[in-house]
Amino acid sequence: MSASIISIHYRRRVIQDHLVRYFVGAGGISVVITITLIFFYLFYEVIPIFSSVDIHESQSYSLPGGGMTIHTGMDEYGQVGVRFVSDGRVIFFNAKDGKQLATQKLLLPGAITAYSHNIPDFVSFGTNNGQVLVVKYVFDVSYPENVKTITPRLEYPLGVEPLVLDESEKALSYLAIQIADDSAGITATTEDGRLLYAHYTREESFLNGAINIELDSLTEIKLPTVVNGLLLDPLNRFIFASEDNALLQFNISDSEIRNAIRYPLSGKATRLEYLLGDISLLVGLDNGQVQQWMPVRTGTGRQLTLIRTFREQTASVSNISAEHRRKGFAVASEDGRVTINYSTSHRTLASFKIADANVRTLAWTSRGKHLLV
Amino acid sequence: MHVYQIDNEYPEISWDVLWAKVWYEGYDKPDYIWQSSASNQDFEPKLSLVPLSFGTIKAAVYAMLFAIPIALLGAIFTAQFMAPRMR
Repeated sequence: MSASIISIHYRRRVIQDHLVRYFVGAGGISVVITITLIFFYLFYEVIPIFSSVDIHESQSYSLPGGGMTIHTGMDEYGQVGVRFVSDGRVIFFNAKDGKQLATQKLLLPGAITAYSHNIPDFVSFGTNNGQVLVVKYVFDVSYPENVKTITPRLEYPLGVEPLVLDESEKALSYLAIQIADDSAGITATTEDGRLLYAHYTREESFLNGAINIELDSLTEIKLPTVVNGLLLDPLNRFIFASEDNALLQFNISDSEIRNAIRYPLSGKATRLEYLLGDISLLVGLDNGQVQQWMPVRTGTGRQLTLIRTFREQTASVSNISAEHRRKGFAVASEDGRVTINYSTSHRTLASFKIADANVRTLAWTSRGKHLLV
Repeated sequence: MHVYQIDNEYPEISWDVLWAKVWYEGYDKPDYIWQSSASNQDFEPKLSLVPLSFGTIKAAVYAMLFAIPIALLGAIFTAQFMAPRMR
């Protein structure tokens, strides 16, 4: 081998050494950079979990239509609101400026003495002659000329004709309903201290959508005390009621109301509502606490158990409204403070005060992005 | 009448949800549970990190059960019994 060939080999080797050193170095540094970037990405993904709730008032206007509000609701996007007034009017309004869009009058056979809204978008009314009308508000979304247009309307899931719940025609004072595809349960208390429970079979004609309701069973018992809140279990196994200082659980079996179990409360109950899923009960007390109770399996059947207590409010609880798609809920108290809470994480996420202290109604949009107070 | 806009994306997270026992709906006692989703809309997410981290530790312990004897015996073999040339 001549010296020149060796020198070419040697030179090539030197260049290779240089290149390899450079590539290995660059590779090592890029691994470090990549891992750092992954770390930043994970950080960026996780950090919103710890961000706090942002809440601000976007609109404020005077009550569209006047009268005393029983219930309010809003469509999914927070564009159209609905207001049920105690004289039987239903007022749809623009949620941006409060302008009235449409007004309907419910065909009720008497004055409204009881109402219930334990199912989102459903309101049921009990009258002073023992009848019940169930109304559902629907917001149809259409896109004429590419503009989102929301058209509100009312549906009658149990028929347009009110159902006669109390044959002795006494005024109903509290009411709760559960509706399934083929059945419905209604429970109510009357002004003369009875608890009624009725089970109906429901048939919807697939041709014209006409609804046929038939009464299966109707039962009643004399109430041991005066109740101030009423709920019905979705499977129609229990009726829950609140009285001054206790919760009552009535079992329904063979279409009979049986054995009330009494659970003492640490204050006077002012409001009784379901959390999403109709399993947990939210009980508002006059000392501002909100307690979450739920049925828990025990040796002697399902019994209500106190799970957690929210203590953020200090004045008597005037209203509780559960979110439609999460286990969160809003609470209003008599001093005009509204808090937003979440049950599982036991957190009070936000709290704000409303100038005109008397908060009558709270309504979530189904996406939980707007609250109508 | 007031309309409030709410930006409330992750209300279900708290220290206790991640690391402490929580009493979920339908259970008869508080427990550590991971079940992040379900097919129904009224589902309660159960986000305890305890089963996940415990599972990670458990998997590592089982892996070490195999790895430690192999590593130790390999080290002893290399140090004491391997032919000097091979070493």
